[in-house]
Amino acid sequence: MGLYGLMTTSISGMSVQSDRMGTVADNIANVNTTGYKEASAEFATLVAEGHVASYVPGSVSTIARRAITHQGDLTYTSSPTDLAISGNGFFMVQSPSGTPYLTRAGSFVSTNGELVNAAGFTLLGYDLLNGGSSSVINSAAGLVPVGTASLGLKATPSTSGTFQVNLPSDAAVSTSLPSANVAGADYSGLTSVVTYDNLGHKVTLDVYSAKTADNQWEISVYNHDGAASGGASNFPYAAGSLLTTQNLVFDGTTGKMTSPSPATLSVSIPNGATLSFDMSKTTQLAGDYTPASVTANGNGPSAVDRLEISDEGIVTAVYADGSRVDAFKIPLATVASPDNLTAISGNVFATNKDSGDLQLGTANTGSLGKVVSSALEKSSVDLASELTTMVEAQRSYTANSKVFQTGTELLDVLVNLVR
Amino acid sequence: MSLTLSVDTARSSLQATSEQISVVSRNIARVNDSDATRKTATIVSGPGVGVSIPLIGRTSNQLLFNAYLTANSSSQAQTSITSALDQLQNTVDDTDAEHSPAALMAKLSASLQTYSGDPQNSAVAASVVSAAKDLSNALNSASAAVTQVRQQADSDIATSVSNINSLLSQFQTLNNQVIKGTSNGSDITDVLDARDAVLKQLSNEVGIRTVTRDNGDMAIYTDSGVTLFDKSPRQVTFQQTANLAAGATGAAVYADGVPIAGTPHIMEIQSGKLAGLVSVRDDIAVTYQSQLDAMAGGLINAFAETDQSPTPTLPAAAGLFTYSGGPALPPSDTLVPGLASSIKVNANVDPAQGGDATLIRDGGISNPGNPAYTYNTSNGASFTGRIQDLISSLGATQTFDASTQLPTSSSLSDYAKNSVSWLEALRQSAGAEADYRSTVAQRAASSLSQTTGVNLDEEMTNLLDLERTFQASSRLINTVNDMLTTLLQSFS
Repeated sequence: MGLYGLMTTSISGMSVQSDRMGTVADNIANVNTTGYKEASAEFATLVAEGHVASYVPGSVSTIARRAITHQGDLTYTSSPTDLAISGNGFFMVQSPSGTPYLTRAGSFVSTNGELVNAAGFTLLGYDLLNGGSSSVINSAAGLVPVGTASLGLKATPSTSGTFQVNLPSDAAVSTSLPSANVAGADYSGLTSVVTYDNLGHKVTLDVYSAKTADNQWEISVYNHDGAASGGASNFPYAAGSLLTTQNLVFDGTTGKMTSPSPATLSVSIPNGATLSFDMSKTTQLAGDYTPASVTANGNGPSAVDRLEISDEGIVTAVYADGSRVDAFKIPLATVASPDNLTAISGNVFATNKDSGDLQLGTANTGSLGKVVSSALEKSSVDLASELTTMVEAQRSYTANSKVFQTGTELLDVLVNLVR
Repeated sequence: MSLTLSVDTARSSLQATSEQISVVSRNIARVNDSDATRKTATIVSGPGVGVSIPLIGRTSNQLLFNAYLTANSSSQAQTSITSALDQLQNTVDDTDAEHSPAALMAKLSASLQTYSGDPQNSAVAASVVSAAKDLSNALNSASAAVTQVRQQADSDIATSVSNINSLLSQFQTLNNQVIKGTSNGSDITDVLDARDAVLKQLSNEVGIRTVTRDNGDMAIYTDSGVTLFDKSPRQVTFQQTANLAAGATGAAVYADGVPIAGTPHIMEIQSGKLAGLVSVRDDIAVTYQSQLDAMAGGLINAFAETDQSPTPTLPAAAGLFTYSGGPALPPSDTLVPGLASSIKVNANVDPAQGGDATLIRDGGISNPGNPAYTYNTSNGASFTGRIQDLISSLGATQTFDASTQLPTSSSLSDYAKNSVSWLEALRQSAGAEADYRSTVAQRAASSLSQTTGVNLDEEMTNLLDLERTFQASSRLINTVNDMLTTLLQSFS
């Protein structure tokens, strides 16, 4: 019966257009949602069995699509934990109940020491600090919440430094070497440098330079803690304060150091590491005692001030004293067919049979995009094209309703035949 | 998509422009602050669409800044020397003025001449005593003035040291902010200005050298290389001396346990107020004191009395002038520190203290009861032998201690004049040097300010430019809004 078929067909036409209006409404509603990917309705024909002599109208069905691979524009923010991906890939996040999902909505803020986005999903990454966690390429196993919660106070003992000074070549030979540790020690220069022991205590080293003969110098390193009290001269130090002495020999022609070679000064910090000063640029020229660069690494105990995230997704903890430690690596996830991922509330996606299995990799390598800090991926919806789609859908819907109306009128005509 | 992109771009331009305007207003607000440097907000394109201001910079010139620090320290050292010399010079005045030792010595010599012409007149004898008292008082007060200058310098050193310690602890706070700000990329330009201002103040007190590290950290060393600040401030210590009498040595200044000024010193600082004050306390004032002591010693010896017995057995004794160690004589050619402060006229000859002024003519001042020191054995009223002796010994060439920096062999009155001209010459050369150094420091300050300071004209020009940019961007947003309105109106 052709007329009924015609009405069914037009109903299906109206139905798919309302689906399409649904996508438009969703898209326009989410025009400012971070990480939102526009939905669209594609149509497919449903053809009824017919034969040459008569035509049986079929109908149309909707296939909803989501342009998940469509890159949204990046908008820049002032928060370094706002993350966006420029290129392919997804962040791994977990819901409050612990289920892993994929997302591109990276408006993370630190909540209870973990990075949680606006929809309440916690960012996942590999722990680089505590021995590193095993990375499994095709599963979320081994991923831990990223954040400052697992990073406590930290102290770094001093291990290396530079001791670059000019020793005055015309200085008088010392009459009482500092290494003898007696009051009235005679030396050409003292530079003190702050180092740190294993617990993060400050250990101030007093490095004395005294001339022993032409082109020969003696370096004595004392622990300042043992300095004579009273505020005036440091000498004599308490017993055991002399940490090391080192003899230096200079070339009288060039003023460069010839011994020891390599030019290092090793000091064993009490309750700390062995600190090795690079002295290769120490010279003996006809100038004053000049400390050009005297430094040592290491830090006292300090707490994490903030996190920094690199292009590769390395999360660096920046401590209050300015030192930095790589704490986490944020992997990017991808699947064989990203557009087939299942969209779930909260701008997250779940894998399914069509999308293929999860694959984790390092950002900015291979086909994966880079992580951009202080940026958010805007919704991929374009308002102007949504409005045009809406006009189109409206017109198509009206046309279908006209077909239905005409069918009804034709039936009226038929019914009125029997009056 | 491109319409919303345009709005984003225009919005980023508005944001950047308003940030630039805030930087301009900061510059203008501090236009009269000599420590302020010019801040600049440089616009770069991106990241993403539009423009952004990645960081706010400041114009700085490390070379000029270091030159200023050096010049300022050197000028401060000289200024403190000059002001101490001015103070000394005020107490001494020139050779003709009434209260200078040189003038009073001439007056004593003149009154002795008068007395030799009228030896019977006890009133003239009394006037000799009064001239001698004036001279000893002048020496006493000059010596007190020197002590006062040294005492003042010592207390100024203590003030300077406490300034250095408090500046270093301020520096630590600012330096930590700079390190933190550098590592997290925040705007630290004002903190850097404040830190530079602390360095400028520090350079007033002591000559410094700075080393800047990668993370913005700065270490401070004295001009002699002693660590003042490296991650934490080092202690600068000084023990003020309660009473710096002549001959007493002031304490040394220690930084980080190294004696940097005073005696003994190992890594001696070259400039800054501290260096100048120590040089006043331990060098200039001490030398001047020793000159006064040498004068006093010369006077006591010139008026000494010897045993007049046919076979002298008694030692020579102090006559008209004596001192706390009298009647024994001070050694004639080595210094007795503080002699100038204790020289006085012998009470035996001072009518005001019940003495007899005519003893000048007769001798025996040192011990009136002992005839051995009496020159006028015949007790003649017109005896002038002793007076003539005194006049000639006052004008005789004496030998003085070499450490006083004056000619070692001269008459007492010439020595007094030499002392005045030594001080005057020193003051003049120090004054000229101070003028020169302060000119250098001012030049360094003005070129630093020209290079890094705020220029109001430039800021106002920038402001006009920024206003135009802001207007253009707002216009763009307006246009896009109009276009979207057109689109939405197509439904009705």
